[in-house]
Amino acid sequence: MNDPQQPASSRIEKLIALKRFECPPPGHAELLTSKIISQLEAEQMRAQEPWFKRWTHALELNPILTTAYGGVVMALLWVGWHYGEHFEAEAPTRVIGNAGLQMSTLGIMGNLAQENDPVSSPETTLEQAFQSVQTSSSVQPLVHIPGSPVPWLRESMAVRTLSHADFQPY
Amino acid sequence: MIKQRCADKPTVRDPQPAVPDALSEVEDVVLVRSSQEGDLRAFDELVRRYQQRVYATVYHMTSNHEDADDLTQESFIKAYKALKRFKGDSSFYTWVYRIAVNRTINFLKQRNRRSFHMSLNDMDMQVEKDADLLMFISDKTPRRDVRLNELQEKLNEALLKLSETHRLTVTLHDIQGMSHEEIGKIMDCNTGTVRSRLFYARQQLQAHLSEYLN
Repeated sequence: MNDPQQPASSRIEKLIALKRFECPPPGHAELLTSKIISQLEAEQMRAQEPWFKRWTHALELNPILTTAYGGVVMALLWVGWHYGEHFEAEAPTRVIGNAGLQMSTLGIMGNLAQENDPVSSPETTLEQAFQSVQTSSSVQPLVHIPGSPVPWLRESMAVRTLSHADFQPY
Repeated sequence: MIKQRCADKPTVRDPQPAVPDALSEVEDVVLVRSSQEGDLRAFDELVRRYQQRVYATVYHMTSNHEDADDLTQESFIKAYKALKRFKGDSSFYTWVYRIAVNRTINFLKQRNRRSFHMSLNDMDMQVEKDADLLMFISDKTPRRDVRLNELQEKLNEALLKLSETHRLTVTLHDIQGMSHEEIGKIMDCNTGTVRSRLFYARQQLQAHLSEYLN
């Protein structure tokens, strides 16, 4: 039995010493060492692999990373699709060529000019001035639209009024 | 429960059996330098030297073999990865111990938020020869094994009631047999703090285990 004369601190020390007799499962020491070393070897081998293999391995192991990558890819696809649609809608206002004229609207503009403004009727001298446009498209050149009925066409297009200097004879 | 299988293998406190390898004679400093250059065989030797002691400390902190296993493994892997930053200001043993202790304390803080089931552990047959321990169990009872097992369970429960720092101090001093100076280095505090923590931890244990002490 316990000795009442013995100090409590000494008795508690002896009681705690019981923990020293607790032992790990059999074969534990060897197993733990081999686990540690094999994990380190696997990590070393993985470090020598090409980046895409390491990347796919990281994705396999980490579901959060996989979800994040999936989210980023989806977001990029959505942005691409959204801007693609927007781009198609705005395509008629794109500025093409050195003359600063619009390819797709040029024909319409030419027609509008002919109908609404008697000054801007196409003439052979004007065709020379817009030679570059004529070579790259089949539309009629636009010279001036002072009173175009379509406001956004007036604003968005780089319309240049020809002066006499543009019609110098050879 | 005391089982026969424990008798023929080392306890958590016994040193690792000698490895028939030339590396077993090499000093820690040399092994650390080789490990820093990527020599896994050298690191394997370091693991063999200290894993039992690290494991024992982590086990006494967690009272669970599976958790102790995982934490020891993680600590050595972390140590290998951080080995390039090891300057040699302290011994490798103290350094790896500190890694394991910090990891274990973090783990225990997380585990406290979850429910925890303590694993009952097998005991070494040598316990029956320890006179100091047998005095806590009535020698008149024929069911001594049961009493011993009960005592072990109560002791584990009492240790788990202590704070992480107090439990660590008791584990390192009273179970692992380390000096106050060594504990101070591992816990990054002075010897006075170690002594005071030990005093308060023992007082708390005394209160929890009064039925065995009186």
